[in-house]
Amino acid sequence: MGLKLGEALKAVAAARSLPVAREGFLACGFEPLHLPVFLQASFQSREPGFALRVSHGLFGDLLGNLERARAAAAGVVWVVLEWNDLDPRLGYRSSGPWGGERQADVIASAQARLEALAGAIARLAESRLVVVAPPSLTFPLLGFTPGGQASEAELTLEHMLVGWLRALASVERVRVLHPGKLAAQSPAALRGDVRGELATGFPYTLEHASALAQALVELAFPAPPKKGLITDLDDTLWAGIVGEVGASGVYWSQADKAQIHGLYQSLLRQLSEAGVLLAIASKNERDVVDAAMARPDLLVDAAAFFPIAVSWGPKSESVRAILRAWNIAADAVVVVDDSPMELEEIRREHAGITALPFTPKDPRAALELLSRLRDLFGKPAVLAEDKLRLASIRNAASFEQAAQGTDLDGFLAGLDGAVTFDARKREGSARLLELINKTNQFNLNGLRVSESEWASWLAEPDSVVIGVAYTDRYGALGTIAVVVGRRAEPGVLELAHWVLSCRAFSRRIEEHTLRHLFGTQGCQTIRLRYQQTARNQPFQELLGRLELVPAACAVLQIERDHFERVAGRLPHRDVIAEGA
Amino acid sequence: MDEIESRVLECFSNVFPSVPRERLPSLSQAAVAEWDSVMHVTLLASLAEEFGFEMDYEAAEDLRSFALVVDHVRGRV
Repeated sequence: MGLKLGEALKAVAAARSLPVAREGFLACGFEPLHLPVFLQASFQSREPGFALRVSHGLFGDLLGNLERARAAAAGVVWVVLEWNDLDPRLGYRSSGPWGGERQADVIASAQARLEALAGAIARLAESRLVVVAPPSLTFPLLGFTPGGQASEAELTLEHMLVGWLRALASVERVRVLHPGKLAAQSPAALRGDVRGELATGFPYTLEHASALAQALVELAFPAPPKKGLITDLDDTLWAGIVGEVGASGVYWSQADKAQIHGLYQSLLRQLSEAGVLLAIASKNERDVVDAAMARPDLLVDAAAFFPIAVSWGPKSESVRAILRAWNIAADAVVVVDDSPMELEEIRREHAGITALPFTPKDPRAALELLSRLRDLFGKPAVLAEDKLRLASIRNAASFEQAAQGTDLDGFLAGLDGAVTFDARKREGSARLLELINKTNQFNLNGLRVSESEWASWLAEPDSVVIGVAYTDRYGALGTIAVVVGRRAEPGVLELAHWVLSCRAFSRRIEEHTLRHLFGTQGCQTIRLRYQQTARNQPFQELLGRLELVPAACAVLQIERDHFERVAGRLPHRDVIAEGA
Repeated sequence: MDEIESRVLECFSNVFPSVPRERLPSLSQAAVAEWDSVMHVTLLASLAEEFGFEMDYEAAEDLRSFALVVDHVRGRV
């Protein structure tokens, strides 16, 4: 249920004293009226301690407003289209004419306008996030056919629009609002307010404006995607109790009236291919589970599940073991189980975990769960590192096992490890931004970076942005660290951001990074803008190894000769990325 | 102040949060710089939402004081 206008106005008034966390620009051709208020209030409900400032352009000039957005300080631009933005004759505030031989002219005009808008949006997206909302209202007057029969002109316009949106969806930093998702919140018949549009220029009902704003804010400021899913088996991954009926007695197909389980398996496969970690927590005997997971008709690859925790003990203990193997926090994980009691037990032991019921006897609710899982794990793009994640987790487990009880430095020296540094500012930059914004433990100060701030870092001539990758005989971890900073003064490199994925701990990659910076950036001093957070204990441990004792918030300096003395001999090869 | 006046007051308070609440019952557009055409429409929309009627924007064009708004709402509910 969306906010009412009165609630939104109250929320915006209450936020006047809060710090402005984000700036947005609303680019539309209609009178913006209530939409900025709903955008601000929606943001407030997601980030209660912060405010969103929204500016907008002029009535009736969408293309001009996109140019005004370029000059604005906003880190995100919402482009909200309606049909009359493509040609004024496609709106109620114009008298057309749109019929007869003029239809071809309207279509040609709309095509030209779409091309101009695409160019303006692409230019905007070079330096900030752009969220595009396609027309959400209908214009029912373009055609000679009866209302229930789509006219050729209407279908031509729809076809042009879909092609245009498809091209935009592939542009970096452009996100297109899913019309189906909006339809679920705001029925088509209840969106338009023609009385209001004719009187004021604002075309939406309050209910639709509220739903639209909520969807736009969710797209611009999504919650970080979850990283792992732990699933139950009996009556969840499959129908039936495998311990009672055997591996061949459990089902997941339409023919066996168990289709909802097949849909669930297919979604898990899709998630795993996008880099989501999957694991199993089941109260069962291991041999029957292995037999069922070995079935060739399973719709998800059994090898995608790691670890598989099968025991008769409390499920929360299985979850604990899985979290340890993954080395991720509970609040990044979703558990799916058909047993409310198991879910409650897990919630009690793992604060912050998302525990969701699987309800095979209620297919509608089960389908809602699948949609919710897509939302929880969805991300704007699947990166190369996502495909490496499972392999690197498995390798990390082998690594940890082999390293136990040994002299760590001696062990690392035998791994044939290579740390690769890539200072090319465009290569793989989406992965680097993702790392900064989702890494909590090894993190210099916990600060996040917006799309527009990131674009500024990449464009600045004196900035240093380096991605760090690692490989050894256990396999490749991909890009697992990033440092961002600038040459503050001669001989001094100041780091504003430094993160390292927890998958890469215990390999002294941190020391290798410092050695690389001293060796390639012409600096004798590295300055760190450090801030203690609730979760960056691993970064504090590095500071301890470097014999630095910081206050909770401090500017720290590492001198080159001090570093070389305390770091000692490092175990891996340093490699400069080809082309860098 | 009866129930209609209280609810109208709430709408005014939401739309003009910088005006002290005690001034609202005597408020007129001439006395409030931020009561421009956009805020006027916002006020009308807020009233329509609060009282559940469809706003006639043309008829409501001249509702430029708290008192006139209360009279209009009384005539609509």
